Amino acid sequence: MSLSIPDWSATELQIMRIGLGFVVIKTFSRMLILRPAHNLRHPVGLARLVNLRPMGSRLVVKGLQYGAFVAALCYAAGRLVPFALAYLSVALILEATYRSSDGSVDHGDHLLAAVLVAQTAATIVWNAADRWSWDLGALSADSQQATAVWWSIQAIAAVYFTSGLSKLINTGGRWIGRSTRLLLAGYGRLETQRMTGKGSLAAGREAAGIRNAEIALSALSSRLRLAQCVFAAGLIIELAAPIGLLGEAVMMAAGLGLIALHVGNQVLLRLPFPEYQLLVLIYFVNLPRLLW
Amino acid sequence: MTSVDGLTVVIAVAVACAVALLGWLLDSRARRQGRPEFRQSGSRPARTRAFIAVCAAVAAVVAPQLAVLWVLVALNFTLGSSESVPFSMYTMFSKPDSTAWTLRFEGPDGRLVPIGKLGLAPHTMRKRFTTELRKAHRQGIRDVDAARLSAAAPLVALVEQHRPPAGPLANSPITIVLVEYSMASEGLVTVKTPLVEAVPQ
Repeated sequence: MSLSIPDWSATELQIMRIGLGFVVIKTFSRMLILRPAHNLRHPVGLARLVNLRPMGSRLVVKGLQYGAFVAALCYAAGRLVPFALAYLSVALILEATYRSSDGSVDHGDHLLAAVLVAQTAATIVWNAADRWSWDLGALSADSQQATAVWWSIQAIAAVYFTSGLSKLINTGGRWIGRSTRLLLAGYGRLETQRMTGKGSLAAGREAAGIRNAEIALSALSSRLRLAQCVFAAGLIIELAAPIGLLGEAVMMAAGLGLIALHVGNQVLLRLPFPEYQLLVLIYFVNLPRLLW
Repeated sequence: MTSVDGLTVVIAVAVACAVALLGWLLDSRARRQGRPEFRQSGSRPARTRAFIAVCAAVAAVVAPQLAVLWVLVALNFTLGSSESVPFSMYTMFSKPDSTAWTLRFEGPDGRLVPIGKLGLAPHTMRKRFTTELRKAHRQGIRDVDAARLSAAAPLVALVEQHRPPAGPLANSPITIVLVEYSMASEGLVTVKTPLVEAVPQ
């Protein structure tokens, strides 16, 4: 049960940096799509303290977006990293808060926000320790970037563990027994998917993904014990995410498990969360190590 | 590099997994015996959340190498309960219900309107409807149909705001339909209830 922070090579750290830069650009590039078009009637978090109405302006969004692209490129290139991370964290928190303050909380960017905040904090703490000769002890790794990566991995594990615990808390521990009811939600999600415009083809034929989801839902609806086992596996994968912190091989296995969970969600509930998958792939699976 | 850091993770994960599996077992047994479904008291989840936050804060102190993990778990269970980004409790799908519902937007011929093409995200409309429904209940609207009508009204306004100036959707009415799903012995049961119609001004 002894813990050792993985020893990443400079190439691995550089690939992780480029990977995170890519996820940031991907996330910010869809900022202008589907924005709340009126006053924030159900403010959450920061929106309760600060007026975020200017975030509705196209000009402000464009500015924030281009700023994020520049910051992501600086970060990926290893230039002005503390400033780039601070900017990206603030911009994403503002954006996610704004979009979630319309009566519909959007968790799609929460993992990226948690990773960016963890990296910003790691970078600031590392630089402060370097400047004033603090001893960070077990908190830090060998380098500033390795510390930022280690904190990001912990942030990812915290998100999945919290999600798993919430399921247990809200059902008094009976989540697996009731999980088959999510199949009903799956049917609802299919209907929702059909209305996105992506769910139907020009000739009125349904996209293959929707057809496959309908087949999977129908198969599991008639085998409820199997459905419970499938959902139980998903919950255990979420709850076991922190085990990945105990070693590199377990981290890789936990990462592959989390990606499989998202693929399952995509098939059954039409919820792919691609940014979550990418972040798990970058930090947990660590593709370069897996391949070489 | 102490074993205490790793031990905090192993204990937390083992306890959580044990609770999940024990709950599954108890639930199966209760079903076999035909007992009513377990319902927890109103304040119990709040007390459990507070307990977990305190445990995570203690773990952050005793396991400094994993302090970030435990601090974030503690923050998720305190600040996250009010959805303070980036902290959240990620409650999506955490309360599986015996019925499910969705909203369907239909044209005059009953065919599905792809509202995504109008710039409206269907899942956002659904969540907005949920929020408006809660608001209607808070305002004292107890009648289910009246609450649904009240919750659907802001969606009509959104549809009208996004209606294109030209094309087939410019002038045709769009009906918002509530679709409810439940499971019966004969399989899936679907009930459709038209709520309100968005008519171009």
